[in-house]
Amino acid sequence: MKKLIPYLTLAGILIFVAIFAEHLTPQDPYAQDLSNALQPPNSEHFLGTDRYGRDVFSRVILGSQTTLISALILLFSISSFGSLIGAICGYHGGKLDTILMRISDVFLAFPQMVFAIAVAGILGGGLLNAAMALAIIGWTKYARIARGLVLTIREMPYMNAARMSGTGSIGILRDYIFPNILGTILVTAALDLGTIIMELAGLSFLGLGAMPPTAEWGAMMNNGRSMLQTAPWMILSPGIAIFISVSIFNLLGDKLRDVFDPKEGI
Amino acid sequence: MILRVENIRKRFGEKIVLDGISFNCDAGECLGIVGRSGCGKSTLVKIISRFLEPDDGSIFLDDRDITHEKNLKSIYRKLQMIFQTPETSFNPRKTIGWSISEPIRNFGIDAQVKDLLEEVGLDPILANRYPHEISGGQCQRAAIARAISISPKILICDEATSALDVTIQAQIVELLRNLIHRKRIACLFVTHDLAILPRIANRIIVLDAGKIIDQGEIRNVLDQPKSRLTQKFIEDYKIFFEGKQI
Repeated sequence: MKKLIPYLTLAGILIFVAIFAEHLTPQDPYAQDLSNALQPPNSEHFLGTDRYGRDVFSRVILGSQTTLISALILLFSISSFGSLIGAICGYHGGKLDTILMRISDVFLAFPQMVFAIAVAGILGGGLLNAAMALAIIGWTKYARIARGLVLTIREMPYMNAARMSGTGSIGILRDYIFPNILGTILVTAALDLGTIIMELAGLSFLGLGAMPPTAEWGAMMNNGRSMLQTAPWMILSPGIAIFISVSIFNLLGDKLRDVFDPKEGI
Repeated sequence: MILRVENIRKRFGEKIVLDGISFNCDAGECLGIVGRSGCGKSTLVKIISRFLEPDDGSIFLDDRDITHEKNLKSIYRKLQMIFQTPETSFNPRKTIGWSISEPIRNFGIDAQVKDLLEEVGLDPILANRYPHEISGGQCQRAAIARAISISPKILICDEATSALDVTIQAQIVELLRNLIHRKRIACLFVTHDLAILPRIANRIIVLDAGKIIDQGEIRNVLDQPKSRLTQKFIEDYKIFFEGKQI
């Protein structure tokens, strides 16, 4: 557990910044000042200003809220829904299992990002639509993992002991199945968080996610794309923020895996 | 009669696994079920404990036909089981005390985990430990405590001593023998280890290829087997264990 502490601390700092972003920004992230547009980093604007004269540092801080919180909510939703569906399918089997797993097979046949772009294109721009587009395929992965784990657990002698102890289906799911699959699901989710941050930012970068003037890292990079030569700080600042966040959550996922399942850690 | 099994048949595809098995077991009696690997012992136990459905035949528990009984909880109130691998018969995420108290809670029995642990020779402090924190022998004793917590009429021991070393085997067999006699529990003791049977079983049935090839009082069957296959099974056992006394 000790080796988790540095990564948990870093992830905690990121989440703290995301939650209290409004109170941590040194300047108003939405205040335009065209006379100060495209200022390079200086003492007043730590990461410079964008084409509307908005403070990039304040927008990067506020962008953490949009990007991280939406990624966390999306991840929580797809991992809980997928795990619940997978656990029920694995435990009960039968027709329900066949139908739900074939549906997940159909979704798994699409490349996730291409499918998400298509769905976000149909639904229209906006962070909620982008998140929904990613969720439509995202849950299937967790359903598959949970089902596989439950199929293994179902054959363990303690499951028969639970039935003989008079425990019903809900009690078995609550006390036996979920606690025993939680570790693997948590590790998968932690490793997935970085990918989801990248995908949400990617959709926003393509104009299918957060809409202007919302401060969101992908949208900020899109905004600075045409200024790469003249004002590189506009694209580099949110880019580095994405890089740092994804790295921290990937490392945390790796360490969580080591803790929960030392055999899998390499 | 606590348990009556009549003409049980089971096949998996083309393979006949159980072919007309009939026997009974009374209160305070221990019936040994013995046979080579693949003879159908485990399938028989799974059918009696309702983890599998038989193709034909009937099972009577306390004179009630439970062959196709849907209310499994009512069956498990009277029938409990001890499994082969002690550690994996407990939920790894819960303490031993929690697992032992599970049937007590679910069946609404007035019993204390502390008393049950003491009854099977364990320190009550072990109630706070997780299955991986105690030894295999302690785990099997805890499994016995869980099984007897609701005072079942019949106890099925499915290779309950196979995963234990010889010393612990002897202790577990002694504990089970005492409990069977003291609490008048009917017991099915499934094993492939012939040497253990005379220490616990009153009668045995010998299975081979899904059929009962020999049955009767334990000493009669071991000393004067009627079936040639039983005779060979006993000889093979003695040869492998270099004349081990059974």
